[in-house]
Amino acid sequence: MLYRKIKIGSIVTAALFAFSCSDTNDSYQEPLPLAGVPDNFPHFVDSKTNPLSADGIALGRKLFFDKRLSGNNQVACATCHQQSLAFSDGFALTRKGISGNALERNSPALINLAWADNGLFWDGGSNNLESQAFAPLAHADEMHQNLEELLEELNADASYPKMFEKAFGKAINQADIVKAIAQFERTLISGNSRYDKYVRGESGGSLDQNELKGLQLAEQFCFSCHAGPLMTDNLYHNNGIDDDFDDDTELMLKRGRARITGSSGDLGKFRTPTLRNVEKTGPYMHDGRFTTLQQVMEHYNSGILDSPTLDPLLKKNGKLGIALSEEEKTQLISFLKTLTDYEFLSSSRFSEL
Amino acid sequence: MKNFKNFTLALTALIFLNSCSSDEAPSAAAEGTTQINFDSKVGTADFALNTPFPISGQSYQFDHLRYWVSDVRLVSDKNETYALSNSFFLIEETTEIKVQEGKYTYPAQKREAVELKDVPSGSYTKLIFSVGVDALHNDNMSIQDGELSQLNGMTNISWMWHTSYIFSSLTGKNMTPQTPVAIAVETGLNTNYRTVEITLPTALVVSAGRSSKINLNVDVEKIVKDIDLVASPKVSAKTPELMAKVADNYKNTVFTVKSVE
Repeated sequence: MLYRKIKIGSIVTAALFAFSCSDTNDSYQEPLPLAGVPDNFPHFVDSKTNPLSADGIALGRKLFFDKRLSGNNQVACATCHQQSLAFSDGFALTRKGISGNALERNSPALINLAWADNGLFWDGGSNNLESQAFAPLAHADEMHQNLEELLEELNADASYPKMFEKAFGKAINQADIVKAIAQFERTLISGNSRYDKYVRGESGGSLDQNELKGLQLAEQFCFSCHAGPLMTDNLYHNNGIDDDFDDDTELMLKRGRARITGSSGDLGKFRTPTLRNVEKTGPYMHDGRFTTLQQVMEHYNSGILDSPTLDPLLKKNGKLGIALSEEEKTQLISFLKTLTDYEFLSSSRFSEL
Repeated sequence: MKNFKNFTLALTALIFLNSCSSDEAPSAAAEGTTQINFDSKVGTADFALNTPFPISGQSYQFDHLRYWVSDVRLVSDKNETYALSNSFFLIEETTEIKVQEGKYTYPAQKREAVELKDVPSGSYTKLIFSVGVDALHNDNMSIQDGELSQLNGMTNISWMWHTSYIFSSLTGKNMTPQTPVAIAVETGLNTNYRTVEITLPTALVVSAGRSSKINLNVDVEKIVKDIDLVASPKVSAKTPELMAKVADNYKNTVFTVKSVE
């Protein structure tokens, strides 16, 4: 009896081992469930090629804050993604990269990226956090790291070689650097704002009259794109901030989503950012053109520019924009501030060790 | 009885899970090695870097020719397929390349052969391979199989179009104008991935202890067939329709069989 049990055990082990011939499933450790997901959030689907592990997340966290990841050892991921600003940086177009040149796009906040399954960057030029991480690492105006040199630098560290071995069962390599960073990014969950507590009926979840009026307005005018518990539809829209998307430069940056899809129907469209922590993530839009939420409200009220790809919700019955009284703008902003998740902005789980 | 059930279950699982290796031909009594050579030409002339070649009335001088060859397969006269899945080979003839705007230098290199090991003995009549990187690998640069790497300058990690691989790249200068004009003919969108099927004029015989070879001609002139490089010296994400044309050229006309040894 005992003999047979052992035999079966070894067959099962053999069967599991046989599975490893599929190269796309090169998980090294038992996948870890994503911790701290609020009940009202969508189901999280883990990466098949880079499943979460406690060691992977810990490694990613260390890398995220490590300035050695840049060519001059002065710029970390966290330089432009600061926790106190919901992992954004407070600049319209930052000059904190190693060249000192202004970047082409506003540094996006890193919030609930575990559900960002429809492209990253403002135009969706990257399909997953793993590929995305290579761009800032390599770009001359960002971290401009020689990736081969980086392997040497990390190998010279007292703890990295062991941490990579534990997390991925391998010596330090380029792919596992971005995998670890992606794992840490997927743990950056924000779902404990006052508004969340209001929705879940928890203590500390009360909204005042102004905020409730603002919520009603948001339900009416904002939630169609800033949708669901993630407060983004993960789609691309032209929200009327420009009406000329002609761009024959090599990078075609003004074209927005169309530079990736090559479709004229996507001209001037950019990814919907989440409204979560919006109080902290200004300046706003893909180029940071609006400094304050007041300016954003005014844009939707009176600043919408018409073009063939303008989102139809911003041109109802032939009328551009969303008419808002001064009082309504104030109410909306009051509501938006209830989306600030102070726990997210200060939790030691997400801070530098 | 219960244990017997478990045993059967485990055995079934074992067989089922092992099925992922079934795309390879049934293992033959013996296996051999073979080689595919990609011999670059311009028309009938041998290709060389920094050497003028006349193409469509202009004189071109190239400084690199590079492309990914992936998913190499051989089909035997018994219709059995030897498949090298997740294989990526960078075929190239290049001068020194500045990667990441000069942060890293990729050395001058010439590589034109791909070695295939453990090929079941047999007589093969068809060669199939793809030019480019399949969508799975192109869309996720952390899945690094074969020779895929961020260090060889065949990636677009700095916002060019996607964070993705460059599938093929031919660069140089048009020397005809008074001031030479730089040319770059590149592909890299998922829609540019092409599979080339070549029927061999004589069978490739693989067996243990016998060295065998397929020699292909790679006609650089055909890469730019029907592309007006005077009007469009740069074929890139900005000109997706031209990239598609270049990808079709790779599929249909660039590769021909020179000999089977």
